[in-house]
Amino acid sequence: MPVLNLKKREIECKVVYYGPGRCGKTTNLEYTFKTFKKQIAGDMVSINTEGDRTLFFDFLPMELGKIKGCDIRVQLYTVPGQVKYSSTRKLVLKGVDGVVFVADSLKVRREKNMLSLKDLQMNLKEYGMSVFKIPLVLQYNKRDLADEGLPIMSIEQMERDLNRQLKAPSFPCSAVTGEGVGKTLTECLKLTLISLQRQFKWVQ
Amino acid sequence: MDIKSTIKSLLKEVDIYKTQGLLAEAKDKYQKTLGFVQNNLKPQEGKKIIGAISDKINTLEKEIAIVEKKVMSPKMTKESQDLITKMFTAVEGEDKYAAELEGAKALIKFGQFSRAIIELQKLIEIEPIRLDAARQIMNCYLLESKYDDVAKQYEQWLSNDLLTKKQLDTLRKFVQGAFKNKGIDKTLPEKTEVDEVVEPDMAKFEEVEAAETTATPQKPKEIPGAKAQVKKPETKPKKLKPITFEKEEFEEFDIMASIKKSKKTDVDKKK
Repeated sequence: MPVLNLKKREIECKVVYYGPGRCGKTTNLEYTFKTFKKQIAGDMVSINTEGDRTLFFDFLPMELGKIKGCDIRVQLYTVPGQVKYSSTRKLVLKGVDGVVFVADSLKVRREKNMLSLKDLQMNLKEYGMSVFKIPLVLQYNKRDLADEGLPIMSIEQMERDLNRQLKAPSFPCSAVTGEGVGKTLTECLKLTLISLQRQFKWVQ
Repeated sequence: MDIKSTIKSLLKEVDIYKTQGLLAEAKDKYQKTLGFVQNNLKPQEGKKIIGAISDKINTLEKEIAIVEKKVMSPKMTKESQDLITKMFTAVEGEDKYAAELEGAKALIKFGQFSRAIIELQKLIEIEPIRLDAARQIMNCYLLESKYDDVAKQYEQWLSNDLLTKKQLDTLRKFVQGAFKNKGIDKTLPEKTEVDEVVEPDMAKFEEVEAAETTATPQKPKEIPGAKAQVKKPETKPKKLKPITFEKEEFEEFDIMASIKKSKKTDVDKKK
Protein backbone atom coordinates (compact mmCIF):
# COMPACT_ATOMS: atom_id res chain seq x y z
CA MET A 1 0.00 0.00 0.00
CA PRO A 2 1.31 3.46 -0.77
CA VAL A 3 1.61 6.05 1.95
CA LEU A 4 -0.50 9.01 0.89
CA ASN A 5 -0.61 12.25 2.75
CA LEU A 6 -2.86 14.40 0.63
CA LYS A 7 -2.76 17.25 3.14
CA LYS A 8 0.98 17.50 2.82
CA ARG A 9 0.74 16.42 -0.82
CA GLU A 10 3.14 13.51 -0.35
CA ILE A 11 3.07 10.05 -1.86
CA GLU A 12 5.36 7.16 -1.00
CA CYS A 13 5.17 4.03 -3.10
CA LYS A 14 6.97 0.72 -3.31
CA VAL A 15 8.41 -0.89 -6.44
CA VAL A 16 9.82 -4.40 -6.26
CA TYR A 17 12.30 -6.00 -8.65
CA TYR A 18 11.32 -9.66 -8.96
CA GLY A 19 12.89 -12.48 -10.95
CA PRO A 20 14.85 -15.73 -10.76
CA GLY A 21 18.14 -15.96 -8.91
CA ARG A 22 21.13 -14.35 -10.62
CA CYS A 23 19.00 -12.55 -13.22
CA GLY A 24 20.41 -9.11 -12.37
CA LYS A 25 17.95 -7.50 -9.95
CA THR A 26 20.66 -6.15 -7.64
CA THR A 27 22.68 -5.00 -10.67
CA ASN A 28 19.64 -2.98 -11.80
CA LEU A 29 19.51 -1.24 -8.43
CA GLU A 30 23.27 -0.68 -8.34
CA TYR A 31 23.17 0.94 -11.76
CA THR A 32 20.21 3.11 -10.72
CA PHE A 33 22.08 4.14 -7.57
CA LYS A 34 25.17 5.12 -9.55
CA THR A 35 23.39 6.86 -12.38
CA PHE A 36 20.33 8.65 -11.03
CA LYS A 37 22.15 10.49 -8.24
CA LYS A 38 19.78 13.46 -8.33
CA GLN A 39 16.81 11.28 -7.51
CA ILE A 40 18.50 9.07 -4.93
CA ALA A 41 17.37 9.94 -1.42
CA GLY A 42 19.78 7.82 0.61
CA ASP A 43 22.22 4.96 0.51
CA MET A 44 21.51 1.69 -1.18
CA VAL A 45 21.17 -0.91 1.55
CA SER A 46 21.82 -4.55 0.84
CA ILE A 47 20.47 -6.63 3.67
CA ASN A 48 22.84 -9.53 3.97
CA THR A 49 24.32 -10.97 0.90
CA GLU A 50 26.17 -14.21 0.68
CA GLY A 51 29.02 -13.45 -1.67
CA ASP A 52 27.09 -11.57 -4.30
CA ARG A 53 23.82 -13.42 -3.76
CA THR A 54 20.99 -11.52 -2.12
CA LEU A 55 19.77 -13.37 0.95
CA PHE A 56 17.16 -10.88 2.06
CA PHE A 57 16.64 -7.78 -0.03
CA ASP A 58 18.22 -4.62 -1.40
CA PHE A 59 16.66 -1.28 -0.71
CA LEU A 60 17.07 2.03 -2.49
CA PRO A 61 15.05 5.14 -1.60
CA MET A 62 14.34 7.67 -4.37
CA GLU A 63 12.71 11.08 -4.54
CA LEU A 64 11.20 11.98 -7.86
CA GLY A 65 10.41 15.54 -6.84
CA LYS A 66 7.04 17.18 -7.46
CA ILE A 67 4.63 15.61 -9.92
CA LYS A 68 1.32 17.43 -10.35
CA GLY A 69 1.94 19.22 -7.07
CA CYS A 70 2.75 16.09 -5.07
CA ASP A 71 6.12 15.07 -3.65
CA ILE A 72 6.73 11.53 -4.86
CA ARG A 73 8.98 9.22 -2.91
CA VAL A 74 9.72 5.73 -4.17
CA GLN A 75 11.22 2.77 -2.36
CA LEU A 76 12.91 0.30 -4.65
CA TYR A 77 13.38 -3.25 -3.39
CA THR A 78 14.78 -6.46 -4.79
CA VAL A 79 13.79 -9.91 -3.61
CA PRO A 80 16.13 -12.87 -3.14
CA GLY A 81 15.74 -14.94 -6.29
CA GLN A 82 16.75 -18.35 -4.99
CA VAL A 83 13.82 -20.71 -4.63
CA LYS A 84 14.61 -21.50 -0.96
CA TYR A 85 13.98 -17.89 0.12
CA SER A 86 10.33 -18.05 -0.76
CA SER A 87 9.06 -16.63 2.55
CA THR A 88 11.40 -13.62 2.35
CA ARG A 89 10.26 -12.95 -1.21
CA LYS A 90 6.68 -12.93 -0.08
CA LEU A 91 7.45 -10.63 2.81
CA VAL A 92 9.28 -8.11 0.62
CA LEU A 93 6.36 -8.12 -1.81
CA LYS A 94 3.93 -7.05 0.90
CA GLY A 95 2.34 -3.70 0.09
CA VAL A 96 3.90 -3.49 -3.36
CA ASP A 97 2.62 -0.83 -5.77
CA GLY A 98 4.59 -1.73 -8.91
CA VAL A 99 6.73 -4.63 -10.11
CA VAL A 100 9.68 -4.92 -12.47
CA PHE A 101 10.06 -8.55 -13.49
CA VAL A 102 13.66 -9.15 -14.52
CA ALA A 103 13.97 -12.17 -16.81
CA ASP A 104 17.27 -13.77 -17.74
CA SER A 105 17.81 -13.94 -21.50
CA LEU A 106 20.09 -16.97 -21.29
CA LYS A 107 18.52 -20.02 -22.91
CA VAL A 108 19.49 -22.19 -19.95
CA ARG A 109 17.37 -19.99 -17.67
CA ARG A 110 14.16 -20.26 -19.67
CA GLU A 111 12.31 -22.46 -17.24
CA LYS A 112 13.58 -20.52 -14.21
CA ASN A 113 12.05 -17.33 -15.66
CA MET A 114 8.68 -18.98 -16.04
CA LEU A 115 8.74 -20.49 -12.57
CA SER A 116 9.66 -17.16 -11.04
CA LEU A 117 6.84 -15.37 -12.87
CA LYS A 118 4.44 -18.03 -11.67
CA ASP A 119 5.81 -17.54 -8.14
CA LEU A 120 5.16 -13.80 -8.46
CA GLN A 121 1.59 -14.46 -9.53
CA MET A 122 1.00 -16.82 -6.59
CA ASN A 123 2.49 -14.43 -4.03
CA LEU A 124 0.48 -11.50 -5.36
CA LYS A 125 -2.63 -13.64 -5.25
CA GLU A 126 -1.99 -14.37 -1.58
CA TYR A 127 -2.03 -10.63 -0.95
CA GLY A 128 -5.28 -10.34 -2.91
CA MET A 129 -3.60 -8.81 -5.96
CA SER A 130 -3.59 -9.88 -9.58
CA VAL A 131 -0.55 -10.11 -11.83
CA PHE A 132 -2.81 -8.78 -14.58
CA LYS A 133 -3.80 -5.68 -12.65
CA ILE A 134 -0.65 -4.60 -10.83
CA PRO A 135 1.59 -2.11 -12.65
CA LEU A 136 4.10 -4.52 -14.18
CA VAL A 137 7.02 -4.14 -16.55
CA LEU A 138 9.09 -6.99 -17.96
CA GLN A 139 12.80 -6.62 -18.52
CA TYR A 140 14.74 -9.05 -20.69
CA ASN A 141 18.17 -8.75 -19.12
CA LYS A 142 21.66 -9.91 -20.14
CA ARG A 143 21.21 -9.16 -23.84
CA ASP A 144 24.97 -8.34 -23.91
CA LEU A 145 25.86 -11.99 -23.36
CA ALA A 146 25.05 -12.73 -27.00
CA ASP A 147 28.28 -10.89 -27.86
CA GLU A 148 30.20 -13.39 -25.76
CA GLY A 149 28.81 -16.21 -27.86
CA LEU A 150 26.37 -17.49 -25.27
CA PRO A 151 23.04 -18.86 -26.48
CA ILE A 152 20.32 -16.37 -25.54
CA MET A 153 16.61 -16.39 -26.32
CA SER A 154 15.13 -14.09 -28.93
CA ILE A 155 12.89 -11.28 -27.71
CA GLU A 156 10.02 -12.93 -29.59
CA GLN A 157 10.51 -16.16 -27.70
CA MET A 158 10.65 -14.37 -24.36
CA GLU A 159 7.49 -12.46 -25.24
CA ARG A 160 5.79 -15.75 -26.10
CA ASP A 161 7.03 -17.43 -22.94
CA LEU A 162 6.31 -14.69 -20.45
CA ASN A 163 4.18 -11.96 -21.92
CA ARG A 164 1.66 -13.78 -24.09
CA GLN A 165 -1.17 -13.18 -21.68
CA LEU A 166 0.14 -10.33 -19.57
CA LYS A 167 0.87 -7.98 -22.48
CA ALA A 168 2.94 -5.80 -20.16
CA PRO A 169 5.47 -3.28 -21.48
CA SER A 170 8.81 -5.01 -21.95
CA PHE A 171 12.38 -3.87 -22.53
CA PRO A 172 15.56 -5.59 -23.65
CA CYS A 173 18.29 -4.70 -21.21
CA SER A 174 21.83 -5.12 -20.05
CA ALA A 175 21.99 -4.12 -16.42
CA VAL A 176 25.79 -4.39 -16.44
CA THR A 177 26.12 -1.70 -19.12
CA GLY A 178 22.98 0.10 -17.99
CA GLU A 179 21.22 -0.21 -21.32
CA GLY A 180 17.46 -0.34 -20.71
CA VAL A 181 17.70 0.05 -16.91
CA GLY A 182 16.39 3.62 -16.86
CA LYS A 183 13.68 2.95 -19.45
CA THR A 184 12.38 -0.02 -17.46
CA LEU A 185 12.22 1.90 -14.19
CA THR A 186 10.68 5.00 -15.79
CA GLU A 187 7.92 2.92 -17.37
CA CYS A 188 7.21 1.09 -14.13
CA LEU A 189 7.03 4.35 -12.17
CA LYS A 190 4.74 5.85 -14.81
CA LEU A 191 2.37 2.88 -14.60
CA THR A 192 2.51 2.89 -10.79
CA LEU A 193 1.63 6.58 -10.53
CA ILE A 194 -1.20 6.21 -13.07
CA SER A 195 -2.54 3.30 -11.04
CA LEU A 196 -2.30 5.32 -7.79
CA GLN A 197 -4.09 8.21 -9.48
CA ARG A 198 -6.89 5.84 -10.52
CA GLN A 199 -7.19 4.53 -6.97
CA PHE A 200 -6.71 7.68 -4.94
CA LYS A 201 -7.27 10.58 -7.37
CA TRP A 202 -4.31 12.50 -6.00
CA VAL A 203 -4.13 14.79 -9.04
CA GLN A 204 -6.88 17.33 -8.71
CA MET B 1 34.23 -26.73 -35.78
CA ASP B 2 36.95 -29.21 -34.93
CA ILE B 3 37.01 -31.18 -31.70
CA LYS B 4 39.53 -28.92 -29.95
CA SER B 5 37.60 -25.74 -30.81
CA THR B 6 34.33 -27.31 -29.66
CA ILE B 7 35.86 -28.25 -26.31
CA LYS B 8 37.31 -24.74 -25.95
CA SER B 9 33.98 -23.16 -26.78
CA LEU B 10 32.14 -25.38 -24.28
CA LEU B 11 34.64 -24.53 -21.54
CA LYS B 12 34.36 -20.82 -22.34
CA GLU B 13 30.60 -21.11 -21.88
CA VAL B 14 31.19 -22.80 -18.52
CA ASP B 15 33.43 -19.93 -17.41
CA ILE B 16 30.77 -17.34 -18.23
CA TYR B 17 28.11 -19.30 -16.36
CA LYS B 18 30.44 -19.41 -13.39
CA THR B 19 31.04 -15.65 -13.47
CA GLN B 20 27.26 -15.21 -13.68
CA GLY B 21 26.91 -17.33 -10.55
CA LEU B 22 24.93 -19.94 -12.48
CA LEU B 23 26.67 -22.84 -10.82
CA ALA B 24 24.16 -25.57 -11.68
CA GLU B 25 24.27 -24.54 -15.34
CA ALA B 26 28.08 -24.51 -15.25
CA LYS B 27 28.12 -28.02 -13.79
CA ASP B 28 25.68 -29.19 -16.43
CA LYS B 29 27.88 -27.77 -19.18
CA TYR B 30 30.98 -29.41 -17.68
CA GLN B 31 29.17 -32.73 -17.79
CA LYS B 32 28.22 -32.18 -21.42
CA THR B 33 31.83 -31.32 -22.19
CA LEU B 34 32.93 -34.47 -20.41
CA GLY B 35 30.51 -36.53 -22.52
CA PHE B 36 31.75 -34.85 -25.67
CA VAL B 37 35.39 -35.59 -24.83
CA GLN B 38 34.62 -39.22 -24.00
CA ASN B 39 32.75 -39.67 -27.28
CA ASN B 40 35.20 -37.89 -29.55
CA LEU B 41 38.69 -38.47 -28.19
CA LYS B 42 40.52 -41.73 -27.77
CA PRO B 43 40.84 -42.74 -24.08
CA GLN B 44 44.57 -41.99 -24.06
CA GLU B 45 44.10 -38.52 -25.64
CA GLY B 46 41.19 -37.53 -23.45
CA LYS B 47 42.51 -38.88 -20.14
CA LYS B 48 44.10 -35.60 -18.99
CA ILE B 49 41.12 -33.43 -19.99
CA ILE B 50 38.64 -35.85 -18.38
CA GLY B 51 40.62 -35.76 -15.12
CA ALA B 52 40.75 -31.95 -15.14
CA ILE B 53 37.03 -31.57 -15.85
CA SER B 54 36.12 -34.13 -13.18
CA ASP B 55 38.11 -32.12 -10.62
CA LYS B 56 36.32 -28.95 -11.68
CA ILE B 57 32.94 -30.68 -11.30
CA ASN B 58 33.89 -31.76 -7.77
CA THR B 59 34.88 -28.21 -6.83
CA LEU B 60 31.63 -26.86 -8.30
CA GLU B 61 29.59 -29.40 -6.37
CA LYS B 62 31.17 -28.16 -3.13
CA GLU B 63 30.36 -24.56 -4.06
CA ILE B 64 26.77 -25.50 -4.91
CA ALA B 65 26.40 -27.27 -1.55
CA ILE B 66 27.52 -24.09 0.27
CA VAL B 67 25.03 -21.94 -1.66
CA GLU B 68 22.19 -24.43 -1.16
CA LYS B 69 22.71 -24.52 2.60
CA LYS B 70 20.06 -22.23 3.97
CA VAL B 71 21.25 -19.62 6.40
CA MET B 72 18.53 -19.46 9.05
CA SER B 73 19.79 -16.68 11.23
CA PRO B 74 22.41 -14.60 9.48
CA LYS B 75 24.26 -11.85 11.30
CA MET B 76 22.93 -8.40 10.61
CA THR B 77 23.95 -4.95 11.75
CA LYS B 78 21.69 -3.03 14.13
CA GLU B 79 21.01 -0.50 11.36
CA SER B 80 19.78 -3.28 9.07
CA GLN B 81 17.58 -4.65 11.85
CA ASP B 82 16.18 -1.16 12.45
CA LEU B 83 15.43 -0.85 8.74
CA ILE B 84 13.55 -4.15 8.78
CA THR B 85 11.41 -3.13 11.75
CA LYS B 86 10.66 0.18 10.04
CA MET B 87 10.03 -1.13 6.53
CA PHE B 88 7.99 -4.20 7.25
CA THR B 89 5.66 -2.79 9.83
CA ALA B 90 2.28 -1.95 8.41
CA VAL B 91 -0.32 -1.30 11.08
CA GLU B 92 -3.49 0.60 10.36
CA GLY B 93 -4.03 3.63 12.59
CA GLU B 94 -1.51 4.81 15.11
CA ASP B 95 -1.31 1.95 17.56
CA LYS B 96 2.30 2.33 18.68
CA TYR B 97 2.54 -0.98 20.50
CA ALA B 98 0.86 -2.99 17.75
CA ALA B 99 3.38 -1.45 15.33
CA GLU B 100 6.27 -2.41 17.61
CA LEU B 101 4.92 -5.94 17.86
CA GLU B 102 4.72 -6.12 14.05
CA GLY B 103 8.32 -4.89 13.91
CA ALA B 104 9.41 -7.69 16.25
CA LYS B 105 7.53 -10.22 14.12
CA ALA B 106 9.35 -8.92 11.03
CA LEU B 107 12.67 -9.47 12.81
CA ILE B 108 11.65 -13.07 13.48
CA LYS B 109 10.77 -13.58 9.83
CA PHE B 110 14.26 -12.40 8.91
CA GLY B 111 15.82 -14.75 11.44
CA GLN B 112 16.90 -12.02 13.87
CA PHE B 113 15.76 -13.92 16.95
CA SER B 114 17.99 -12.39 19.63
CA ARG B 115 17.03 -8.82 18.75
CA ALA B 116 13.37 -9.83 18.44
CA ILE B 117 13.44 -11.30 21.98
CA ILE B 118 14.91 -8.05 23.36
CA GLU B 119 12.06 -6.06 21.76
CA LEU B 120 9.40 -8.58 22.83
CA GLN B 121 10.58 -8.60 26.46
CA LYS B 122 9.74 -4.88 26.54
CA LEU B 123 6.36 -5.43 24.86
CA ILE B 124 5.32 -8.17 27.27
CA GLU B 125 4.80 -5.43 29.88
CA ILE B 126 1.95 -3.98 27.78
CA GLU B 127 -1.33 -5.74 28.57
CA PRO B 128 -3.24 -5.69 25.27
CA ILE B 129 -0.35 -7.35 23.46
CA ARG B 130 1.14 -9.30 26.37
CA LEU B 131 0.00 -12.76 25.27
CA ASP B 132 0.99 -12.21 21.65
CA ALA B 133 4.43 -10.95 22.73
CA ALA B 134 4.88 -13.97 25.02
CA ARG B 135 3.85 -16.34 22.24
CA GLN B 136 6.38 -14.71 19.88
CA ILE B 137 9.15 -15.10 22.48
CA MET B 138 8.34 -18.82 22.66
CA ASN B 139 8.23 -18.90 18.87
CA CYS B 140 11.78 -17.50 18.71
CA TYR B 141 13.14 -20.18 21.04
CA LEU B 142 11.26 -22.89 19.16
CA LEU B 143 12.59 -21.70 15.78
CA GLU B 144 16.10 -21.77 17.21
CA SER B 145 15.44 -25.23 18.69
CA LYS B 146 16.26 -23.87 22.16
CA TYR B 147 13.79 -26.11 23.96
CA ASP B 148 15.40 -25.72 27.40
CA ASP B 149 15.00 -21.96 27.07
CA VAL B 150 11.32 -22.46 26.26
CA ALA B 151 10.83 -24.39 29.50
CA LYS B 152 12.96 -21.92 31.50
CA GLN B 153 11.00 -18.94 30.20
CA TYR B 154 7.67 -20.65 30.86
CA GLU B 155 8.68 -21.49 34.43
CA GLN B 156 9.76 -17.90 34.99
CA TRP B 157 6.33 -16.68 33.91
CA LEU B 158 4.72 -19.41 36.00
CA SER B 159 6.48 -18.14 39.12
CA ASN B 160 5.52 -14.50 38.71
CA ASP B 161 2.18 -12.78 38.20
CA LEU B 162 2.84 -11.26 34.81
CA LEU B 163 0.54 -13.64 32.96
CA THR B 164 -2.87 -14.84 34.07
CA LYS B 165 -3.71 -18.52 34.40
CA LYS B 166 -5.71 -18.32 31.19
CA GLN B 167 -2.81 -16.72 29.31
CA LEU B 168 -0.39 -19.32 30.69
CA ASP B 169 -2.76 -22.10 29.63
CA THR B 170 -2.92 -20.69 26.10
CA LEU B 171 0.88 -20.49 25.98
CA ARG B 172 1.30 -23.99 27.38
CA LYS B 173 -1.03 -25.43 24.75
CA PHE B 174 0.83 -23.54 22.01
CA VAL B 175 4.22 -24.83 23.18
CA GLN B 176 3.02 -28.40 23.79
CA GLY B 177 1.59 -28.44 20.25
CA ALA B 178 4.94 -27.27 18.86
CA PHE B 179 6.83 -29.83 20.96
CA LYS B 180 4.54 -32.59 19.70
CA ASN B 181 5.11 -31.55 16.07
CA LYS B 182 8.86 -31.56 16.61
CA GLY B 183 8.81 -34.86 18.50
CA ILE B 184 10.10 -33.27 21.72
CA ASP B 185 9.20 -35.19 24.86
CA LYS B 186 8.74 -32.35 27.34
CA THR B 187 5.73 -31.42 29.43
CA LEU B 188 5.18 -27.97 30.80
CA PRO B 189 3.39 -27.84 34.16
CA GLU B 190 -0.04 -26.24 34.48
CA LYS B 191 -0.59 -23.31 36.77
CA THR B 192 -2.33 -24.79 39.79
CA GLU B 193 -3.33 -21.55 41.48
CA VAL B 194 -7.10 -21.00 41.28
CA ASP B 195 -8.36 -17.64 40.11
CA GLU B 196 -9.92 -15.49 42.84
CA VAL B 197 -13.60 -16.44 43.28
CA VAL B 198 -16.08 -13.67 43.95
CA GLU B 199 -18.44 -14.76 46.70
CA PRO B 200 -22.11 -14.24 45.84
CA ASP B 201 -23.93 -11.59 47.83
CA MET B 202 -26.05 -13.80 50.15
CA ALA B 203 -28.40 -11.01 51.21
CA LYS B 204 -29.42 -10.50 47.61
CA PHE B 205 -29.72 -14.25 47.19
CA GLU B 206 -32.20 -14.50 50.04
CA GLU B 207 -34.16 -11.61 48.55
CA VAL B 208 -34.46 -13.45 45.26
CA GLU B 209 -35.39 -16.70 46.98
CA ALA B 210 -38.25 -14.95 48.81
CA ALA B 211 -39.57 -13.47 45.60
CA GLU B 212 -39.57 -16.88 43.95
CA THR B 213 -42.00 -18.31 46.53
CA THR B 214 -44.82 -16.15 45.13
CA ALA B 215 -47.27 -17.87 42.81
CA THR B 216 -46.42 -16.50 39.35
CA PRO B 217 -43.31 -17.87 37.73
CA GLN B 218 -40.81 -15.10 37.11
CA LYS B 219 -37.81 -14.58 34.98
CA PRO B 220 -34.80 -15.55 37.14
CA LYS B 221 -33.11 -12.50 38.60
CA GLU B 222 -29.41 -12.05 38.36
CA ILE B 223 -27.49 -12.58 41.56
CA PRO B 224 -24.37 -10.44 41.65
CA GLY B 225 -21.24 -12.57 41.74
CA ALA B 226 -23.04 -15.85 41.13
CA LYS B 227 -22.78 -17.62 37.83
CA ALA B 228 -26.17 -18.76 36.65
CA GLN B 229 -26.35 -21.89 34.61
CA VAL B 230 -28.81 -21.09 31.88
CA LYS B 231 -30.27 -23.92 29.90
CA LYS B 232 -30.59 -22.98 26.31
CA PRO B 233 -33.42 -24.44 24.26
CA GLU B 234 -32.17 -27.31 22.18
CA THR B 235 -31.61 -26.30 18.61
CA LYS B 236 -31.16 -28.51 15.62
CA PRO B 237 -27.55 -28.58 14.39
CA LYS B 238 -27.08 -26.38 11.35
CA LYS B 239 -26.48 -28.20 8.12
CA LEU B 240 -23.15 -26.97 6.74
CA LYS B 241 -22.89 -26.12 3.09
CA PRO B 242 -19.63 -26.71 1.26
CA ILE B 243 -17.63 -23.52 0.71
CA THR B 244 -17.89 -22.17 -2.80
CA PHE B 245 -14.96 -20.19 -4.11
CA GLU B 246 -15.40 -17.78 -6.92
CA LYS B 247 -13.30 -18.53 -9.91
CA GLU B 248 -10.63 -15.88 -10.24
CA GLU B 249 -9.81 -14.44 -13.56
CA PHE B 250 -6.10 -15.05 -13.15
CA GLU B 251 -6.55 -18.75 -12.73
CA GLU B 252 -6.34 -18.81 -16.44
CA PHE B 253 -2.80 -17.52 -16.28
CA ASP B 254 -1.33 -20.72 -17.66
CA ILE B 255 2.35 -20.01 -17.87
CA MET B 256 3.01 -23.53 -16.64
CA ALA B 257 1.49 -24.79 -19.88
CA SER B 258 4.37 -23.09 -21.67
CA ILE B 259 6.84 -24.95 -19.47
CA LYS B 260 5.15 -28.28 -20.13
CA LYS B 261 5.03 -27.43 -23.80
CA SER B 262 8.70 -26.44 -23.85
CA LYS B 263 9.64 -29.71 -22.14
CA LYS B 264 7.56 -31.66 -24.61
CA THR B 265 9.26 -29.87 -27.51
CA ASP B 266 12.66 -30.70 -26.02
CA VAL B 267 11.68 -34.36 -25.78
CA ASP B 268 10.35 -34.29 -29.32
CA LYS B 269 13.60 -32.77 -30.52
CA LYS B 270 15.59 -35.48 -28.77
CA LYS B 271 13.42 -38.11 -30.43
